[in-house]
Amino acid sequence: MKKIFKKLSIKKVLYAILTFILALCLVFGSLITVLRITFFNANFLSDTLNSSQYYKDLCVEITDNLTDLGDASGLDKSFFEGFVSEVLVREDVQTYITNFYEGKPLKINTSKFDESLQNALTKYIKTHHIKNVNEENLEYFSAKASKIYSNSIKIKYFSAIQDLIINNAGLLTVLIVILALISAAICVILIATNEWKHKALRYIYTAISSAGLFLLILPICIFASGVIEHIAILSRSLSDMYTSILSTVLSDMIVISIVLIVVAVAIWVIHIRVRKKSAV
Amino acid sequence: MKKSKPNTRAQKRRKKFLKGLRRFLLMPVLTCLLLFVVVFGITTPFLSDFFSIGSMFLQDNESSYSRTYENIFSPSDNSGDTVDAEDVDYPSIDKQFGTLEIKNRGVDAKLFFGDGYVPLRNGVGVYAGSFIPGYGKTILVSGHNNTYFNGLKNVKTGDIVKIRTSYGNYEYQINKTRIADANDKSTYDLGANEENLVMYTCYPFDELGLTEQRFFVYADKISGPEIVGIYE
Repeated sequence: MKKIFKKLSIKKVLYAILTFILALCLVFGSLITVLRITFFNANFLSDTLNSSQYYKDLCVEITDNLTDLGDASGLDKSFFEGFVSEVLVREDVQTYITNFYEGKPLKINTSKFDESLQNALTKYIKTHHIKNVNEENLEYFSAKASKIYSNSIKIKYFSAIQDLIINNAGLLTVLIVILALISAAICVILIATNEWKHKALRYIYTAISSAGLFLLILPICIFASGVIEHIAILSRSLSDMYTSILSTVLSDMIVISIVLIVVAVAIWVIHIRVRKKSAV
Repeated sequence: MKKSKPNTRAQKRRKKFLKGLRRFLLMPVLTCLLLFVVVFGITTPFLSDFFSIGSMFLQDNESSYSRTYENIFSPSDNSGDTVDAEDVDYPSIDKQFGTLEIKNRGVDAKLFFGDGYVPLRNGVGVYAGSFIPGYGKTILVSGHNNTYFNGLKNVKTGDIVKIRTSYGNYEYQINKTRIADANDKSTYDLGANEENLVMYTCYPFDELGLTEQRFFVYADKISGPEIVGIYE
């Protein structure tokens, strides 16, 4: 024990602390970067929805809900078959996402949907020779159908975090820059103050590789725990969306971890060469 | 015992290799473990609320989006006076647990527990806040007027409603019908101490659009086993 303490000089302890702070900065910097390029990025959400089954499932769900409403309103089950246009759904969801990230009110414009519903109803009344139509009941039905559509377009639970995302996107960028500057400063201090440069490189290697391991182990544990598959969301489209988002976030963490580990190994190789040179 | 110094070349090489391995693997792993401790220590106070809310969104099984429903109904020949509560498989929401029929009036539907989308897509449903047959209380059943309860427009006082469940067969006699506002709470009494069946659907029948009136059919129990031993 005494021998260990004898070996530990103040300088070594300081270097160990700096190494750990560097690792912490890299971990938090990477986590914040993942958040910045995913949740806080409008393109990320659009791309995730485009690459998942979201729009297809959403159209099926809207059709099912409208068919249930149709059942309660005297309409044939076939009335809503093929009625919900995926193109219109995509367009409206995209507008919702744009408004969401621009901090605009999250109101859905259902005018196109309302118009096509009115046209379909007029055609239905004509082809089924329905004579006694109560306009009030029909308006009530149309309003309910419109509400089902607009509620489906809204991405559930997202409206609750709109302010958080709008107000903190800039702050995250500043944090990333600050953490990057601190990391760079620590690296400079380690290299500049160390008599043996290969030792400085070893400290940097330890910090980068441990941060890489952290960012690799965390998502692997989450994937392995099966938490993502057990998210209890009754809507298939929403479940698809949240599963895709979480999987992408975790995959991004793994990618960053691999980059860090590769950089760390490169630094280790340089460290060995520098050590050999200094030994000569 | 004093540890001997490495004297052979092989021993020196081995010691050097172990030292290198320790620096290459052990230090990053130990630092990583320390990172887990520190990162979770720092973030737990902020994330504990998030985790407790998040845990509410988790379930034991993977989500199933199948559109099929569970059917626990198998015909029974029990038309006796009683059935033990232990023998009654109490249905959960959206499960089919029986059938409802009014002969010659065009009503013959699967009977579900709950009156959400699944029951009304596939039959008629008992409101979950009311009771199932045999409890000696009010059974409130709803269905769509253009599908399974369209035949209610044909019913007459004195008609017999047959409900079949896995634990017994029941008969109710229609004693009156009534048209009322959808929000009229006087149309049924869920606290009644006599078993009675209330069936309702939207009114007018075959009307296009959502209506604000309801057509109620009231029936009294005339036969079927009473569930005993409920509170034991």
